[in-house]
Amino acid sequence: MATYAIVSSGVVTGINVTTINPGEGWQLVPDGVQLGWVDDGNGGLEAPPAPTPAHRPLTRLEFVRLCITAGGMTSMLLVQAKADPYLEALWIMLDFCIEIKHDDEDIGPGLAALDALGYLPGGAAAVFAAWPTE
Amino acid sequence: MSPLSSLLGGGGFNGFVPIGPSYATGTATATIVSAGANTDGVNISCASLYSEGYSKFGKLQIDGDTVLCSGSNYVGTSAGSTSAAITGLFVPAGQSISFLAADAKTTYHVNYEVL
Repeated sequence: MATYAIVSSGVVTGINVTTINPGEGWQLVPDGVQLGWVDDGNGGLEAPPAPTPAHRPLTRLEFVRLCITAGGMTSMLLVQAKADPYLEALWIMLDFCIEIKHDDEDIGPGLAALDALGYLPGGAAAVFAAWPTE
Repeated sequence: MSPLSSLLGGGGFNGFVPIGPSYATGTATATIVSAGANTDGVNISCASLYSEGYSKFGKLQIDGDTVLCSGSNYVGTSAGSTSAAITGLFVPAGQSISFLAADAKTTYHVNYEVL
């Protein structure tokens, strides 16, 4: 028994474990190669990298708690940020949100503004880094 | 009259269809056994096709003739997934076994025995 594979654009799209050479297009590969394996760049095949976990959408409360836990925002800073006229648009946008997504186009600038105005001592990057995943 | 299981292939003393030791699986068009490689016949123990919703067709073909099909010739005619399966198919020597995929949303699996 030998394992043959069809590799299309660097991805294994067919596996054939058989006693004969099945025909054109199949190449002999080591046992254990599976569908979806990819070209390793050295003439071999390897399992594809594990997919990056997707960031979970947050509720507004979860978002504020993340700013507190990861961004270092204290209760006092939260109260001050809520009253800061430079952040009024951010809070209005958050009021309209049903959920807050990691890649939302307004969240990056919003966190950067909180950071720049001194309401995130830990920095906006720390908030993004600690964003929960699925 | 021969038992139906014998006519379908496999057959044998107890009339069952044995699972072939060879197998193939994939998501793209492929000739699983070429006509040239099939020198003494092949028994297909079982074969299945699965097409996700909104996919086009997947077909199992013997020497170019379709014997099994899932999906649809028209993308989007059905949101639901479809599947098809067949057991005990004898493929005479000199005939090829192929899987034809219209897109990457169909998976095939074939167990077979090279005679």
